[in-house]
Amino acid sequence: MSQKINSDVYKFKKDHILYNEGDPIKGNSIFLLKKGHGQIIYNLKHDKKLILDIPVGSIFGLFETISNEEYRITKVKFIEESIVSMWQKEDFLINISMIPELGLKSIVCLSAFLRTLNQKIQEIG
Amino acid sequence: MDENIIKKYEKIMKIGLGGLEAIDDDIINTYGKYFKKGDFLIKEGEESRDVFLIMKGSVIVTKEVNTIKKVLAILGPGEIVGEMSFFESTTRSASCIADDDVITINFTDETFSEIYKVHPRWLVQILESLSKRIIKTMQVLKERIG
Repeated sequence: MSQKINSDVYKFKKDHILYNEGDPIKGNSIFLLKKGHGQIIYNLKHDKKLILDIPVGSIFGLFETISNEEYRITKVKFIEESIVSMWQKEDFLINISMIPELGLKSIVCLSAFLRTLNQKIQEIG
Repeated sequence: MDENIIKKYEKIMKIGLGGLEAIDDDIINTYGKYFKKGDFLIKEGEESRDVFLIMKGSVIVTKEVNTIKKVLAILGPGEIVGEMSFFESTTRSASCIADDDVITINFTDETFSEIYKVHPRWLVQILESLSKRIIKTMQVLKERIG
């Protein structure tokens, strides 16, 4: 369940699932966690899962949206009551051109995500 | 203003406003780097911060795991490597090796920041490149687990 705080900011209860793997990517699809705590869950094979934390200040939902995927590859769940800003892809791209810090933050978040995935590959050998 | 500085900014603005299509021979002559098959663009663990925009050829991204080199991705024209160390100020997390004759445009801290200031939407190209690499890496991870 979500509660609208203003035009682009919503509050979600603990355990709320923002999206599931396989959900179509449409509407508000890029998110910034302003308060709370979330998890990105990626289903691997044999019921194994990769679970990555979404700390406050993270931008998420971005890589699937920017790369024009039709459906979500990951699931996102809030493990605390959370407040989230949301953007549609087009609005997000406009914001990047007006707010350089947002563009830079997006790249840092994606870089950190890619680095974590590379570390996981290194761990499993 | 110094004529050389004006010329430099003209080139930087050209890349920023026009993206890949605006990169002509003049820009390649200024910022371009040439690699032969087997040459390292980036070595894992080293402390360098250049960002490479691949213009021609393909680049293999590898990571050493228990002394074995694992291929993480093969990248081609339009894709960017090296931005992770640039934005996070960390050592190189993987090696990038030319798979054939490769031409890149190299950006240093200075030139990259200048392009960003002139035209931040150019960063969308980097976001797209990173996003595609994340998806490829996730597929690799799923295959390795299985």
